[in-house]
Amino acid sequence: MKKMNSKNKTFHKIFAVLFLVLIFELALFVLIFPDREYSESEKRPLAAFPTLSLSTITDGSFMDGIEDWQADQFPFRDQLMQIKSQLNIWMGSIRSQDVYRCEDGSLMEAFQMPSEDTLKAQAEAMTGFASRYPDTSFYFCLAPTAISVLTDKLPTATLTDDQNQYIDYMQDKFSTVGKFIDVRKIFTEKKDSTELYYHTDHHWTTDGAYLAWQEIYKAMELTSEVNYTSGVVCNTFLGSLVSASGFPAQKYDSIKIYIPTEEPVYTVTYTNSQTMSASVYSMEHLSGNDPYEVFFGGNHPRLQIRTGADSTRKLLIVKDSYANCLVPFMLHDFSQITIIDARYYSDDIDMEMQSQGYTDVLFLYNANTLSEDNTLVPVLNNVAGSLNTPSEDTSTEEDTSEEATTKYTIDDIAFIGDSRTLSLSSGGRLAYQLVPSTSTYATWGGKITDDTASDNTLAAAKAGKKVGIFWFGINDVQSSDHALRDDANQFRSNYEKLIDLYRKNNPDSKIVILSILTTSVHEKDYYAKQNENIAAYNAQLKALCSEKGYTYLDITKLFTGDECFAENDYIHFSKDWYVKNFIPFIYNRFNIELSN
Amino acid sequence: MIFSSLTFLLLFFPITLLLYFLVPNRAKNIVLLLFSLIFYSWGEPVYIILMLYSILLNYVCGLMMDKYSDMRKHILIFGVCINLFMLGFFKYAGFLTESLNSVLGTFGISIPQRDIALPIGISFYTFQALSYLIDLYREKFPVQKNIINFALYITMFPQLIAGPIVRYESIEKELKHRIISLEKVGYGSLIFIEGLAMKVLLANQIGLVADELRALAGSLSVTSAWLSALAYFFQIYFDFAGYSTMAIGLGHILGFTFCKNFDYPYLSTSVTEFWRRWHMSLGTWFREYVYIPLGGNRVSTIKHIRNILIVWMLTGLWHGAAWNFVLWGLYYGLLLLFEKFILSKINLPKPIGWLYTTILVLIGWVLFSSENLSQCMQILSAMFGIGNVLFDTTSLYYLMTGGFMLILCAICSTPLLKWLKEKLLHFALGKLFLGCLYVVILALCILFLVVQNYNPFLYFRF
Repeated sequence: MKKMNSKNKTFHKIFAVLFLVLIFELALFVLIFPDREYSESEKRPLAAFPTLSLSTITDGSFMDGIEDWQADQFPFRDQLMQIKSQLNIWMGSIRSQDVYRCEDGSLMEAFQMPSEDTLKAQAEAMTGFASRYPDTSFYFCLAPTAISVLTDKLPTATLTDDQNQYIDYMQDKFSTVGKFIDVRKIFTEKKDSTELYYHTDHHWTTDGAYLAWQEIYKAMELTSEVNYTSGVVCNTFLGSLVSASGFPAQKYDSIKIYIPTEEPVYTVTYTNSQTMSASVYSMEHLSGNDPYEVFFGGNHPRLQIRTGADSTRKLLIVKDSYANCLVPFMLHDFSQITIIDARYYSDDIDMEMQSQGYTDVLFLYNANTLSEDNTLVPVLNNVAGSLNTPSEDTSTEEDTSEEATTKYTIDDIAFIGDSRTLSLSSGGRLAYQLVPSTSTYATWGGKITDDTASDNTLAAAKAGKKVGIFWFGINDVQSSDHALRDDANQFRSNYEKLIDLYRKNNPDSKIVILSILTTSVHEKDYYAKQNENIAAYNAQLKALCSEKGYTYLDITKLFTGDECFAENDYIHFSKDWYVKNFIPFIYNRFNIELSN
Repeated sequence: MIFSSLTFLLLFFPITLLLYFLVPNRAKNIVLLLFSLIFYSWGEPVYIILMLYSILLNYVCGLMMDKYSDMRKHILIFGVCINLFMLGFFKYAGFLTESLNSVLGTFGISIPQRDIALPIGISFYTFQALSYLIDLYREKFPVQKNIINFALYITMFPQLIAGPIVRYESIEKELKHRIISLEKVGYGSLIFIEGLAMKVLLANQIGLVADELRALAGSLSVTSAWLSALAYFFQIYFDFAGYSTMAIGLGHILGFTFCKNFDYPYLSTSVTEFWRRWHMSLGTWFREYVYIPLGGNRVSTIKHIRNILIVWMLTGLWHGAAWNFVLWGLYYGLLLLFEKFILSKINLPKPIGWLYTTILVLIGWVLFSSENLSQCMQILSAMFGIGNVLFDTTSLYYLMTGGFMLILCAICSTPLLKWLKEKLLHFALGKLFLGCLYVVILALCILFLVVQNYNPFLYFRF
C-alpha cells in the first residue's frame, strides 16, 4: 500500500489548491476563447465543434471531433507551436516533416528516390511522347534542389537519398530523344557567390533561375541579346518550408524580379478561367499567402503567351512551379509560349501538339517535385486520348452506333457517390429533388474507402439498373490521412474495387465514372492543394476507364467558377447549377427525354 | 478517452471533480460510477453494453454464491467460465481461427473468420471481476450487495482502461468509506503530473524514434538496431508506468489507495527480480489465481516447471492475441526457470546481473514489439551484427537527434529524481521550487498535447 507521508501536509494542501485552480481556470479559458476558422500557419481550416447526433455518437465520430476541436481551437496554438519547435531544436532536432534545418537556419527539403517502376514509367512516358513528334526539338531541364547543391550547409547526419542518381538516370534516358540541360555544374560553381535557393522556401531564387536560363539559352541555341537589372519586389518572404516544418525562420527571404533593358511586348491568356493579362507578374499576390505567386499568379492548367518577338519558334513548356520565375526570361525568343502544368491539366496533349505546331518542347522540373509526381506520366501517355473523353459538345460516343441512339429513362440510372450525388434527390442537407430518391445511392461525406460506399454500391447493383454513374472523390481528397489523400494510385485501386463489387452483382450494367470537380478556384492554399490532387485522381480514373472499357465523362467544363457553389462552402453545388448544367448534361448524354 | 489528452484534462476531469466534491458523501459513488461509464463509452460507445452485462453477471453470481452456499463451487465455475468465454471470444477468437486455419488449411478446411473489434479494457475488467469471484469463494470478504459499489469497483475510471489490476479485497473498505481531503488531492495531483510527464514528455517522444527505427528494420546497422531496441525499451516503460502512475494519482484525488504497479524495473539485477518490479498487479494476479491454485512450487519439480510455463504463456497471451506474445511469455518462463534452477547456484555480482538482465529484457521487447516474425528476426540479427555494418549515417542521425531524450529517459528510470524530490521537501525554498516545477511540467505536457497534431497542409509540393 502506498501510504501518504503526512510530513508534508501543508505543502500538499497548498499544491492541491494550486492544481485545482489551474485546471479549472484553464478549462474555462479554453472554453471561452473564441473559435478560429482557418490557420494561416498551417494553411488549413481548423476543426469546429462536431455535430451531436445518435449516429455520430455510436460511430465515435463525435468523440473524435471533440478531441480535434479541443486541440485545433486551443488558445495561442500557433505561438505554442513555435515554442515547441524551438524546444525541439534545443533538444537536437534537425528535421521535421522531411525538411532539414541547417545551422544557419536555412530549410531544405529531403529527397526520396522514386521507385524503379516510377523511374521507368517517367522515362518511357517522356521518350515515348518525344518520339511521336520527330520534327520538334525536345529539351529537358531537371533542376537539383538545395539538398543536393548546398551540401556543405547541411548538418552532418542528414538522411536523404542522392538526387544526382535521379538526375543522372533521367539525363541518360532523355538524351536519346532530346537535349538534357544539366545545371548542376554551374550551380556548384556559383553556390558560394550567388544565393541560389531561398532559405525558407523550396524554390530556387530568381538568381538561380537566371543561371539555369543561361544554360537553357545555350542548349536551345537562342539568339536574343537582352540585358537585365534585378530589383527586389518583396523582402518579407516566408516560404513554404516554414509552415511545412514548423521550424521558425531565422530571417526573411527576398524575391527579385529581373527587368530587361528592352520591355518585351506580350499578352498572357489563362485558358481555364478565360482571362487575359498584360504581365507575367501578378503584383497583388505579393501581399498574399504565398508571395512566390507573383510569378504568373501561381500554377494553372494551361496558359498561353503571345509575344511580339521576332521569331518563328513556338515553345511548349511542361513544368512545375520552378519554371514560373524562369519563363519571363524567354519572352524575347519565342513568338508563342504555352505552359502546361500536368498536375492540373485534363485535356489532350496530343491534340495540343498537333493543332499548334510547336517547334520546341521544354520539360522543366525540379528533382523533388518530379520524384513525387504521378500526373506527368498519364498526361504524356494520354491513353484515353480521343477514345473516351468527350470534348466541347456532349455527344461524342464510342464505337458502336447503337450507343449513340440508345435512349434511357431516368429510372435506368443509378447515381452512386457522396453528398454531391445525394443532393440530387432527397437525402442530406440539400435535397434538390431533381431525380427520384430511388436513383441515388449515396452518403453525405462518403469516401471511397467507407463501408457506406460499398453498401451503397451493393444496393445500387442489386437494383439492376442499366447504367451506374459513379461520382466519388471530393471527400477522399480532403482525407485527414495524408497518405491516402496524396496517393492517386491508391484512390484508383480503391475505386476499382468498388466498381468490381458493382459489376459482380450487376454484370450487364454500363459503368460511367464522372470526373471529380474542383472545390474552388479560390486562392487559399487548402483548396488549391485539393485541386492539384483532384487532377491526379482524375488522370488515374481516365486511365482506369480506358483500361477497363468504362466510360469516363470529363465534366470539368460544367464548372464555371465559385458561383456554382451553394452557400459559399466551396464543396456543394447550388440547385441552380444542377438545373442549368448537370442535369442537362446527363439527360443529353443518355438521351433521356425531359418529361416535364 | 485517455488521461493524456486535452479532452480528459480540460473537459472530463474538471467536470467530474467539481461534481464529485460538491455532492454529499453518499452520492459520491453514483457520481463516480456515472462518469466512469461516460469515460468508458467515450472510447467504446457500443461495447459498453458488454461491460454492463459483465457487471450484472458477476454481481448476480456473487449474490448467488452468498445465498446458495452449498452450490458455491458450481456457481464459481460457472461465473469463471462465462467471464473467460467472453474474454476469449472478443479478444482471442480471431487469433484462434487464424491459427486453426493455418493448420487445417493443409486439409483444405477453413473456418470462416469474422473481424471482431476488441472492446477496450476487457482484459482488465474481466480479471478484476474474476478476482472478486474467486476471492469471494475463498471467503476473504462479504458479498457486495450494493450494485452501485460493485459496478464502481469494475468500472472506476482511473484503472478501468489500463490498470493497475485492482483486487477487490484491497479496496473493499474504501468503496464504503474513504478519506477525501485536500492533502490527498495535493499528494495525488503530484503523482498524476509525474505520470502525465512520463507519458507525454518521455514515452511519446522516444516513441517517435522507436517507430522510425523499427520501420527501417531490414537495413539497420548494429548501432541503429540497438538504438531501436533501446528506444522501445524506454517507450513501453514510460507509457505503461506513466499510465499506472496517473491512475494511482487520480485514485488518491478521489480518495482511493491503489498499489503501485512498477518499482523501477530497469534497476533489476535478475529476470526474477524484473518480474517482481514490472506490472506488479498482473504478476500478483497470476500468482494468486493461477500459480498457487495449480500448486505453485509446493509440488514435484516437473509440476513446478509446468506451472511456471503455464503462467508465463498465459501472461504472454494476456498481453495480446498473437503468437509473438505467447513466445515472449515463453521466453521469460524459460529464463525464470533457468535462473531458479541453475543460476541461483552461482553468485553473480550485481553489476553483471544488471547488465545481463537489461540485455535480455531488451531482446524480450524486440520480440514483444515486432509486427511479425520476419521483422523480429531482422532486428535481432541486426543487433548481433549478422550481415550489417557497425555504424552508419542513420545511427549518427538518431544518436544526435535522440541522444538527449535517451539520456533523460535513462535518468528517469532510476530513483534519482525521487531522491532529489525528497531532499528538496526538507526545506521551504525547496518546496517552493518543487511546486513551481510541477506546474511548469504540467504546462509543458499540455503544450505537447496541443501541438501533437500539428498538421500543416503540405501545399508546398507545387
